[in-house]
Amino acid sequence: MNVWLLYRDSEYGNTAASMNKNEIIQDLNLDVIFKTMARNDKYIYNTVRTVIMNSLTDIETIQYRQAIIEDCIHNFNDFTGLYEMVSEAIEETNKYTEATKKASSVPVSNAMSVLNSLELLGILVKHLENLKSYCDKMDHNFQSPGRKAFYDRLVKDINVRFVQKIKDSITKMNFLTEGGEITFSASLGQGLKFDNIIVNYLVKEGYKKRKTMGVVEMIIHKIFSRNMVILDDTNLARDAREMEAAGLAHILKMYQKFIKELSSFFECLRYPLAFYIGCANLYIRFQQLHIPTSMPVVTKQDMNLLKFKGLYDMSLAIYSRKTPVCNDLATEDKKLYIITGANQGGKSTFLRSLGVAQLLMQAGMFVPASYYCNRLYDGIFTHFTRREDVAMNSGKLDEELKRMSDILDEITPNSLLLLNESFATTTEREGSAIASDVVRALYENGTHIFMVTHLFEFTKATYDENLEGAMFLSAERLADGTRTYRILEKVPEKTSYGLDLYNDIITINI
Amino acid sequence: MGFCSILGRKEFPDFESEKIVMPNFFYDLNLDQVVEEILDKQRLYDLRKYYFFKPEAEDIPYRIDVLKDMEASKSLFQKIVDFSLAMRKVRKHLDNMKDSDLEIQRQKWNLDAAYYYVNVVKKLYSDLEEENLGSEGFQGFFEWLKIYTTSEPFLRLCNDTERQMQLFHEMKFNIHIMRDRVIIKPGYLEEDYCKQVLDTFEEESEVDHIYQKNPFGSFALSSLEIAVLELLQKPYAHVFDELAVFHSTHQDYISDVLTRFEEESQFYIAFCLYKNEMQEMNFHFCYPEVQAGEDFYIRSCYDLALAKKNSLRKKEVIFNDGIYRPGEKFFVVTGPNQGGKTTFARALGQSVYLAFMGLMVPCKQARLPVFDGIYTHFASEESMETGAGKLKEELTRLNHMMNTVTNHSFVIINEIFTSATSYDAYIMGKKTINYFMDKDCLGVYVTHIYELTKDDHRIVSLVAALLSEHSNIRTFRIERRPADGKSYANSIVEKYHMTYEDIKERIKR
Repeated sequence: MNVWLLYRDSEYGNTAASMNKNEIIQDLNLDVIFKTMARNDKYIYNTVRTVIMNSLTDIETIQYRQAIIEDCIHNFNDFTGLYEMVSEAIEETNKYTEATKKASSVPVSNAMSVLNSLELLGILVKHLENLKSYCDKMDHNFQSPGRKAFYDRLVKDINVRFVQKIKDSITKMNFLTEGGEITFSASLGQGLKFDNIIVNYLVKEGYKKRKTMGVVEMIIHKIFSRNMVILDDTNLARDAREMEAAGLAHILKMYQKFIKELSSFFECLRYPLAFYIGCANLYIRFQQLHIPTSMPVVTKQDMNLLKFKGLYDMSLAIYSRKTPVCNDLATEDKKLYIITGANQGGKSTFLRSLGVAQLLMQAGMFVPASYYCNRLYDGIFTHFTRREDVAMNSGKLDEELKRMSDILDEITPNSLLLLNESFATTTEREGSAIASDVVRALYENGTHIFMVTHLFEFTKATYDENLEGAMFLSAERLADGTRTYRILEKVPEKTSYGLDLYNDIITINI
Repeated sequence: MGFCSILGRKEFPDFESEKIVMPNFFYDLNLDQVVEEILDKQRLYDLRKYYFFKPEAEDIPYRIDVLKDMEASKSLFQKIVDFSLAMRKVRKHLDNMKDSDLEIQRQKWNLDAAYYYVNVVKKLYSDLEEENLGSEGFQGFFEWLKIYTTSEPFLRLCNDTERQMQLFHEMKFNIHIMRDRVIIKPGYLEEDYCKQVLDTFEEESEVDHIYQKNPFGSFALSSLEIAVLELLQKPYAHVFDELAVFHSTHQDYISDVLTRFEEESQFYIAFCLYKNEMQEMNFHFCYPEVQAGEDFYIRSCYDLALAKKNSLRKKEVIFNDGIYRPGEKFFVVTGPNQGGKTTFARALGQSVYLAFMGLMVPCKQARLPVFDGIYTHFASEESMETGAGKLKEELTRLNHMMNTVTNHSFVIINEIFTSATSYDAYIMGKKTINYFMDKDCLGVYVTHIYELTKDDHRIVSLVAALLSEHSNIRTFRIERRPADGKSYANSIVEKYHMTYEDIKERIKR
């Protein structure tokens, strides 16, 4: 039974180039967003984290998810109801398996474990029936193709006959409680060992318990009955029990397959439901705060068009509970964005807001902007030099370059790279030289780069090159020095930090 | 002359086990890693001696031809692999026979082994018949096999096993297990409970039966199996009587030639498996032309061990040529640190070794003379000694090497005399190279002392090249040109391969 709510034709799809996930989560402050989505449900937390960090790279799947998210937002109670049912089914089966495991500190007979499996199968079938009838009631509410197709498959796969068959089989097997007799057929194989063994049938023991044979009876049997072996020898009795147990274990395997299939169906269903409920949770939260979100527009790969309005940093919005400073931008055929300007001017926030929006778009979600339109990337990478790291020491540069080097191992021409004050752990001259090599090589390769930097020499040299695909942005600073935290297109300043410092400190006039 | 060995015209000699150790030059040339990897491909056999000892000169073309057969025909290769697997199974049965305490079971294991054996031999014969065998080795073996499979003892073994197996095939039974007794009857009941269960849930399955594993896994018989056997012995007495006769008639029927062929063919199989893996990573191999005379040229060679490592890290592997023109005897390689000098020396050494083992070489084209041996001298990294101590240690080893080296050997000397002054190192280097050249050896001398490249027409100057005159980017290419004697810097950027050119290379996808 296929769920297929996250991908159109599979449970787990192909995902983007491997990204430096843990760093992205830290650099883009994503944990706050995951927590808002999870609302204390640990399973939802883990699910949204995994789903969002495995970016989609095709438009169709994104639209597929976008439609289901709309459905989920409009029929939130139906979705949560379904999610709870599935969670309950999984919890009950887990509880049952744990309980039987605990009980089995004393080794359980194979007959007993066949019974346990049957009981478990019963539980699963019960939940499956409940789920089906729940879905029957609410199906008409849904609009998205994904959610509709899921219901159609459910109706097709879980027909009454199937459920009845399982139930019958369970009843039939119950006689094992009293213990039964088992018949095998086999031949003699290599080295006279048993070979080609099959279980022929199980027979319920007679109405009255056969009483154990007395000594005289045994002797008579031994003499006259050529086909019979009396289990009076302990080794022989042990072997006979072992053979019996192996037969039951063999039968058990047949059931295990169905139990696995049914359990995995519930697991497969819980996963996408958790993701969609997480999305709805986030949506509802932003509605409550009156902060606008929107479904992004995905352009084709070859249309190099970036346009957004009212883009803000989502985690900042969650913290401050109001709409933070927003930015607008519309560009065509640009692939290198260099962002300069004063500290504390909103550059990192801008970089984060863009990264988050792109990542959520590529998860099929809505984005923190009133309008957002961009292409898809194979992979999204971040390389942030964190404040606490800027203290210059040689080990830091080594660590920084190693992280960059790891990214270079994975990055593709169609990737997005966010650089935040990279190569600031060495001298400006050396940092500029490294930055220039890295950026130029990636730029020529086609990778899209957003780069916040203080490396003056690098910025100047790049500006002087007049690259067609490059754009220079800066944190706005009003004439009186006030910061607006807005990012605008601006020619990079011609003065370097060092010259300022010189003028400030060197007071001698010649 | 009859067939002796797939490895050469004569039988491969026996060596005392303590003498089977890796030659010293393996470690210097990274051949320890390469050969270990090759050996890893067929660990069920102890192939060390085949790789550690070099063959007679005449066996080199003999082996190359055998390898060509195995390499040209995938089916032949697979047939030999299957044959080996089956032979191992035969031996396993015979081991079980020796281990069993029960006479009747010993007899049956013997029958099983014989049955497997005759089938594997017949299969091998018909398999080889279909192949177009070009090598002296395989043709000789096939001729031998033809005679063997039509020999009277072998044919009798075939008939007897066939008949016995048929009798056992008919012996079937069913067991009904109750609380206090077991009922055993002849005959196989076709009803299959598990199949019924499966059919309940799924479409009807194609298989007739769903067999279960024998719960009594050990090769010895369990009490239950013995009890069943005892009951069956009465109705099937004639079968067991014949088995006893079979056992006393047929013992030690496995041919020594086949056992040796099985083991020795692993020499090629292991190499091919290793080579194929490297080829899948886009590394080339070729057959060397090994012949008397002075001709030595190798095109596009590489260090196998390093290539594999680099390939896993997606690093480009550089191929280099090593060509001695008539009269030339020694390469003196200079250039920057980490510039590929040592790698080049190793690559040459590996090719020389593989060529004289009669295997393929990691080159695009290779012609080599028949060398008498390979001798290497590398700075020992483990040695913590410096200064005089280090020099002393190096000279001790060099002395030993000079005393043991034979004429027409291949000599590789890497970064020797680094702790001496340049002038001294130059003088000592000159003497060393001259000594080996006078011994009619060919070789490679990796050094910083660029003056050593001069003033001798027998010496070829090779330089690990940089991208351009002003750059310190290493190309890992070894170029034939006069040494320039420059010094070179190093930086952290290069450690992570993050120069512009490196990055361009790395992000190519």
